[in-house]
Amino acid sequence: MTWQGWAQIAVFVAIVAALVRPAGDYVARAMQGEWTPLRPVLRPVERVLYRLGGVDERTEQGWVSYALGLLLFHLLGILGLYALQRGQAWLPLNPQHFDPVAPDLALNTAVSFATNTSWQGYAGEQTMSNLTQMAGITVQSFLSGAAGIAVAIALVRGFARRGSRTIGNVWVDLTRATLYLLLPVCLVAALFFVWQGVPQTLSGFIEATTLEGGKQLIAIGPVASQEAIKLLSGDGGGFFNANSAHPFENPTAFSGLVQMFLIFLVGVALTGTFGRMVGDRRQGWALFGVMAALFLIGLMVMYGAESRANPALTALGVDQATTAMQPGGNMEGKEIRFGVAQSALYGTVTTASSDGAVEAMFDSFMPLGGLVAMSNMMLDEVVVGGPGSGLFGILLFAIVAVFVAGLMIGRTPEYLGKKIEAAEVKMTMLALLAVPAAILGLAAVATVVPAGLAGLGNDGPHGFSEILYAYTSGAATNGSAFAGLNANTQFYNLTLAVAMLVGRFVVIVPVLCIAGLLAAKRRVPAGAGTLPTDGALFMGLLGGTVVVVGGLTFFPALALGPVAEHLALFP
Amino acid sequence: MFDLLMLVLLVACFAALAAFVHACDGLTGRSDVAGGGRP
Repeated sequence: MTWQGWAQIAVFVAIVAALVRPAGDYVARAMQGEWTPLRPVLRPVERVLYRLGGVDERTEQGWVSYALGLLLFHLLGILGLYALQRGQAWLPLNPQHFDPVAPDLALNTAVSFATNTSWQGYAGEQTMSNLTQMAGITVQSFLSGAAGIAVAIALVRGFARRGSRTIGNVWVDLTRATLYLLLPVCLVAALFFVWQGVPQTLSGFIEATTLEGGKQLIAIGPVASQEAIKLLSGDGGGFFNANSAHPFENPTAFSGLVQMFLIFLVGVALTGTFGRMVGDRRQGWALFGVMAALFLIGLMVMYGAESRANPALTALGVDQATTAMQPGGNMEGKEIRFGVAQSALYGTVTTASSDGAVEAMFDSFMPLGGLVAMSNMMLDEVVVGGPGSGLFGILLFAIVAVFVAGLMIGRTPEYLGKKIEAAEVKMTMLALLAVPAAILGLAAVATVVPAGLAGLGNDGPHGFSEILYAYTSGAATNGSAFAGLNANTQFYNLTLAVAMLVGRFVVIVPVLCIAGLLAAKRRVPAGAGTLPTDGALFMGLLGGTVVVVGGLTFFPALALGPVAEHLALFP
Repeated sequence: MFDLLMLVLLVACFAALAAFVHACDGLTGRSDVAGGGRP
């Protein structure tokens, strides 16, 4: 570890913390249709969109119609992206003359981007036409991010409203999240990336002459525009196979730092939004505090692990000492441009959020570094998480925390003045158990059937980690890859599609149900037995609940993978 | 043929999810009987 590394981490954390209140206020105002600086420009566009879609923005929906609308929206999105991939050979903007994407891979990719996962079983620059990238993948990145924000706002309305039968209008929420939040930030971010050297062109490739005089085709395309939403929406699907380790996606250490801000921006802003909408900012800061503590613990473990020399490489005589000429530690799979500190920071940010963009190869991380990446995802995306999914994820754990506290003192649990009763707890447990069931169940199947084992690049604990990581990434809608596993097979394409559908929708439906249940309730005044949910006691209880639930569920699987590998490396 | 199979699988998954929505509603006591309206 170096002081420069810690300084970089400190700057990042300070700027993220400073964004919570202003960005949170902006999101709250935009999503509630209040005045924002962009409203004079965008409001006429919003009105036209409602008119075209036949939407009455003043009519709200109960949770069932809200959820069914969202499901229909995603079904149409998946079908559209599937059709684009299958028909790209006959459609325009295909300068590379790519063939149609195979049906199982097309289904996997369509589900992946519509569920905000961005798991990629393909190499983008060798598989997808510019039209598929722009009109399919990029569009779904916007819409899936907007859907997560919409669900989170609906749940916040559930806490904020009293005696209401409605939780909002799904079409209005989707429109506002896209129009007022994602599009403006992406426009600025895309221009920033172009300035940093990211290509933005409809050409498919350029021909370069190498130093030896040979000819080389270098893939380019509309990269900057996809890059911006890839980060902001928590989607993470890169234009190139190497994702943000590719110099055309992430040219400089500065662009890497900005990428991390974009990944966290909506997730941290929503904690501020939560505090503002429920009328008590300290509630939002309490959630942010828990997220920040869990993030910093994971980051310290990952940075510490990656700063150590790899004994396997030491045995080969590789110099891994920190000197003025090299960062030291485990540099395998990391870019010289970024070094250990930014690679560890990026690795923690991208797995703590639901983004999944990578600028270093997780398969080459030390076992404890890989364990942190997996654990962040296994905690159900609550360490900041993706746009929306982080907030509703940690609110689910908050419900469990107050329920446990209520059991301990023998009182009906309350959160923000709403009594948490059997129905809310049933839905919470359903949502929290869906992801572990998908991860552990499907990983167990893949480790015993020949089709699952056929994709492995390694055996032993590392091979098991590759399988476990794949299903964790899919079900937690992260999308990052451990690499080393050939997942572009019918078995993995279809089972990972199932994991992504379960991880997204079997969580979102109970969340919306909870929103509907809570919105209908009256607020009860705080009494002597009410647990304050804005103080250190509750934050400790909430953080403990997240760690214990995640730890108990996944520890046996982690012991078979990264823990066993660590003990083998450091006996 | 494989496209048709993918389509059937996808629609079946979303039909199951729609049924899941109604099952949740039933499990929690039909909170959404009233449907939509103004807040």
